Amino acid sequence: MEDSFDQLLDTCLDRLARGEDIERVLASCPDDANELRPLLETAARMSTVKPVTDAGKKAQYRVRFDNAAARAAAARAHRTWYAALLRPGVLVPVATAAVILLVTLVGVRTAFSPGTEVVVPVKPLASPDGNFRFLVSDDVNAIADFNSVVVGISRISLQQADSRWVEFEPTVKTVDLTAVPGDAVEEIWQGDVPPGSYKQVSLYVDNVTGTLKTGGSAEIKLPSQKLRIAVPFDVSDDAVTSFTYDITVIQTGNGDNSRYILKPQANESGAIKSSKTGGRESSGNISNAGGNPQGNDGTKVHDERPSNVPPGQTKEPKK
Amino acid sequence: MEASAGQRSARARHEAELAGLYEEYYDRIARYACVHIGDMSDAEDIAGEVFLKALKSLDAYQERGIPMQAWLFKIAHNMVVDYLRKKVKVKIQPLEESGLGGDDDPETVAETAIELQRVTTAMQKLSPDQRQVIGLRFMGGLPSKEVARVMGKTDGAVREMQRAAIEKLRMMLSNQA
Repeated sequence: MEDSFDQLLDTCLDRLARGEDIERVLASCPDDANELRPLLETAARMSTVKPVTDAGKKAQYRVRFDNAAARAAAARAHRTWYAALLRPGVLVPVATAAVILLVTLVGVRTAFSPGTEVVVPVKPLASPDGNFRFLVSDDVNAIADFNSVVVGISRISLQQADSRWVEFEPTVKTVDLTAVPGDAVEEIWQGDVPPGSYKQVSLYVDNVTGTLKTGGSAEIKLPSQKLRIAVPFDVSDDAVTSFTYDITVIQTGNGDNSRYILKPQANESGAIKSSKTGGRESSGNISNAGGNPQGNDGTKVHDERPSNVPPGQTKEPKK
Repeated sequence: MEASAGQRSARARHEAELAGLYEEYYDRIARYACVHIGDMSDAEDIAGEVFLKALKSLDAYQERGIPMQAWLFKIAHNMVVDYLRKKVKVKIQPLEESGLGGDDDPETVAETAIELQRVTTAMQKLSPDQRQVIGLRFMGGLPSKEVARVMGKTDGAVREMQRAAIEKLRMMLSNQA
């Protein structure tokens, strides 16, 4: 025999799902309120934590579903016509015309398919003469607690205005954020990307390791392995666009509940353009810490701007 | 055998009903799959494939007579089981969110992701049936009667599993805090 408490709990859960306040629900069951409360509070906690879906992926699947439904509907319509045309003296000419019409319609529909989100990634190659540079920097915040914050980056994705994605792997796959505070940047890739307008940048971070100044390591939480910011910028073939992706580490909570979280900084990120002069962008402020020639051979390039940096040479977040 | 006009009409109606469920139930099915498999990106692939498979199998649905939403979750559960069979271990990792746009607060997103990771970890310690009940009730948003139909169990059995699962989750989430 079923426990009546299970039925009561189920009814209360339905009421919470309809948006009723937990206190109101408990007030209607005074004899069982003490036993119900922790269960309903747990249920409420479950209900508020819901992962968010990717709008782009959802739209892609919607297109596939709609196309499949349209094909099924066309097939049904074809069968209906076929059955109606199975009459003596009419079958051959009418059936032939119907098949020709159907093939033509399918061909036209295919040729003029509405634009969908094309997710075929374009994989540009790294090149020292490329029109696009990807730089990483950071705002200090809680990074000041660390001797090192090493971020492992596996992939970078740029979304064009028409929703096509441009993806590439960074030439420099690890960045120590404590080495690029404030206006300092580290270039992790240069190459040619398709010219045009872009609207989003995603950084794929595989891991982050922090070593505290007080000694020992600290866990730095990743909100996601894909850190996406919506910062529009343009790329053209006759200039070099330098996009700076700013990341920081923040500390949340108090005491034993405090934690460090890696956080992208959309407001501090953005692109600047400079003209191409004989290949690589020239700037008197770029120095190579390793003493090697500048080039896209994976050598780190640190851009440490002195205080007399002329206007236009700092990273300017695009508003 | 040629379908009758009535059958074709019913099929068209069900296709329209299925299309109408897409916007809301894609999200619910993705969340349901996510708390089972621990990976939101793969969970969304499952959600998308559920609708494509449902479209192909619509004739089978017409014979079953259960609410279409519940039928979708049956398909989803089978896909989740297949997915888990291929995996050695369920991934518990920071979950994908829809994106950190310029107006989103990454702190809130990060906190939500951490809380979701706690919940997913706790869910893995439930029995498979308990996990399915919780997933269908809280992520899928199904009432317990429909959960019972999806799982092929009695209403009473589902309510009992539901209570036991919530009690267990309460203890585990309290210990994690």
